[in-house]
Amino acid sequence: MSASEMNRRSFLRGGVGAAGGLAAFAAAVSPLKDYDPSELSIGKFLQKHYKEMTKEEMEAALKRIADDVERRFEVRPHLRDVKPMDGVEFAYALDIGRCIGCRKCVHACVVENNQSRSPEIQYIRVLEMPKGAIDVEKSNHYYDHEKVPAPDKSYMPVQCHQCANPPCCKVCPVEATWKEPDGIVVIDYDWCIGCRYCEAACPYWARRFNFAEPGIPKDEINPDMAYLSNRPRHKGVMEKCHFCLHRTREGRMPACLEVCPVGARKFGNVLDPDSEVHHILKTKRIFILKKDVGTLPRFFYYFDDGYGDSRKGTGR
Amino acid sequence: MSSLNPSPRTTRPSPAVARGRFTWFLGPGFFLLAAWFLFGPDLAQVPIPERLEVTSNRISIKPLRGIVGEPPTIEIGGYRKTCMECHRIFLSDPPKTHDLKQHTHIRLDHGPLESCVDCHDLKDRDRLLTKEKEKIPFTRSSYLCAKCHERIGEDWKVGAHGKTQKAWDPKDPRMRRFECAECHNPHRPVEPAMQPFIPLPGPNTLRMTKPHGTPEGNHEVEILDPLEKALLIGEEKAGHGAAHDAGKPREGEPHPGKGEGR
Ligand code: HEC
Ligand code: HEC
Ligand code: HEC
Ligand code: HEC
Repeated sequence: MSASEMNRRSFLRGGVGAAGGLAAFAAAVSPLKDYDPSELSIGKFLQKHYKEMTKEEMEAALKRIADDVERRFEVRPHLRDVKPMDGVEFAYALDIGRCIGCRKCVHACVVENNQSRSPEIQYIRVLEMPKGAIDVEKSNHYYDHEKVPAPDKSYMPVQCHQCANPPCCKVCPVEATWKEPDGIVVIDYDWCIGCRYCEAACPYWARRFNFAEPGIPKDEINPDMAYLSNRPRHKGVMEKCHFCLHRTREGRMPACLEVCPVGARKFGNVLDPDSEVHHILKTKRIFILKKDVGTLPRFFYYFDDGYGDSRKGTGR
Repeated sequence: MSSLNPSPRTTRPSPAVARGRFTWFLGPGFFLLAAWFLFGPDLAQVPIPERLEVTSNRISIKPLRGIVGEPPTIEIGGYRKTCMECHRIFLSDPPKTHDLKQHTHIRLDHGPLESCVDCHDLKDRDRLLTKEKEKIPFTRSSYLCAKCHERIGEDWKVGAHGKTQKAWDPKDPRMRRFECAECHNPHRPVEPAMQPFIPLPGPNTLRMTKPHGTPEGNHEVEILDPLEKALLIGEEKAGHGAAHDAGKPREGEPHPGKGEGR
């Protein structure tokens, strides 16, 4: 073998190596093709953690986010940062016997909270199971009957339980999700890194991940938004039910409750002895889903055990 | 090797020569690959299922029924009339259930109640009448219901039966509690609150298969636990059908075909 041949060969090798490296680099950076440079802003990059932002910094963040929403969806949102109310701790109660599985709550929630329509993200999952015992193992949430309730079935909507001892918050490596004083577990979508530890930690399958850029038709955006609740998310962050905090912290009812045709959903301040939930927790038979995992949920199921003796006055 | 090089040539090149020829294309090949990664089609497309439309009227927050206001009026032949406009004249006396010539949409089917006067004041049709002969306006009809349905009435007052909208704080003036008649037809109370609904679509994530079930859509959940399966099949040996057949027996429930010796 001659020296010139050697050189030619090593040159070829080097060239091939360089081209291979280039290809590998191109493959690595190709996702940047999809990156919309207008999303990248110094403001977002320098933004502090929610709890550390001053009022002015929050104002600036809100303006930046509102601009982003306007650019994406061509509507100027009514975006604000709603704080918890003093002396209020929320609780949710759901009458399992009454729920008929119509899924109105699921879709009202999607519309209210600007959830992605495609790919589909839904916070509420309505489990259908054989009547009698609550057996999540035997449940199915893809049921599709002509009419509900189907005979011999009972229904159990599951959404974030806003646990008082939330495992999801403990596993978050960047503290992007935490429990607020009114009991709502929130997520800062600007702080979330999308590692999905929280999703794995949640025993109620309540957290959803944006695998792709959320798809929401422009004319279906709900402009009534808050920083910690239903402002539109981007690809790569977690989201979940937040008890409609932009509504409930202003005294209104969550969207899933407003739409329930049978009145199975009850919401209110547990600290107020006149509230519906207080009354229900005191007087009804309560069921806590996965009680033994010790998450201390704020979402309760209850049974309205027959009103058999209620029809007095007619001799019956 | 032969499978990689299917050319029908008689003299096959030696492996060393083949490698040499192949190397020649590597450089430009990688260049093309790099260009394709950068400018070619998007590889990492997330498969996205079709969107299921849900029209806004199906998630309306309106009550199931509209109710009579104050003064109570009904529409007859295109005219709004108060009850007394007619009933000043029509003073039908005997409280009885017969085929009505007016209000033909009303067919009383309310437990054991047999007469309109269980609830209506025959003389003053603009008012309802409790069994204690207490006159109450139509706007407070729930109070009438609560006279007989005491426990539900109590629950309703604190919000445990029925539905509260607009505000969760009982002191909030925006709070609105549905009247019984907004969910139950007072004349046929099983309607419409207890009528079946057409469900809205379920999750449409990309699934490998549709859930198991019969054509009527009565999906049974497939039993996954091999132990449970084995026990069930043992039980059904004399019977018929696989363990995940729709209509299979559930623990503690009577088997429809059992005991017939089939
Ligand atoms: C268009 C005139 C008209 C109006 C308006 C009207 N009614 Fe009547 N209503 C009648 C007639 C006629 C009968 C008798 C039907 C029969 O006996 O077959 C009747 C029968 C009744 C009866 C059955 C008892 C009976 O007298 O036979 C009740 C109860 C009643 N009406 C209540 C009301 C109430 C409550 C309203 C107002 C919301 C009202 N009606 C408005 C014409 C009217
Ligand atoms: C259980 C009590 C009860 C009985 C029994 C009853 N009603 Fe009524 N009725 C009501 C109440 C409550 C309303 C008001 C409903 C509303 O606000 O929508 C009403 C409303 C009406 C109305 C006006 C609304 C409409 O649907 O047109 C008419 C007419 C009427 N009743 C006729 C009758 C007749 C006729 C009978 C007997 C066949 C009868 N009712 C029996 C409780 C009763
Ligand atoms: C005069 C007494 C009385 C009044 C007033 C009354 N109810 Fe009833 N209701 C009964 C009786 C009795 C039953 C039958 C109980 C049973 O079937 O066990 C009944 C049954 C019902 C049922 C159950 C129906 C079923 O088949 O399960 C509903 C719902 C109901 N009433 C709603 C109402 C509403 C709403 C009102 C007010 C507009 C009302 N009731 C007013 C006596 C009354
Ligand atoms: C939000 C709608 C809503 C309102 C408001 C409402 N109900 Fe009901 N009610 C229901 C539904 C849904 C059921 C069916 C429960 C079931 O099938 O087990 C029901 C069941 C009943 C029953 C039968 C209960 C049983 O266990 O057999 C009675 C009686 C009744 N309601 C009376 C009333 C009375 C009286 C009021 C007003 C004081 C009232 N309801 C208000 C939705 C409502």
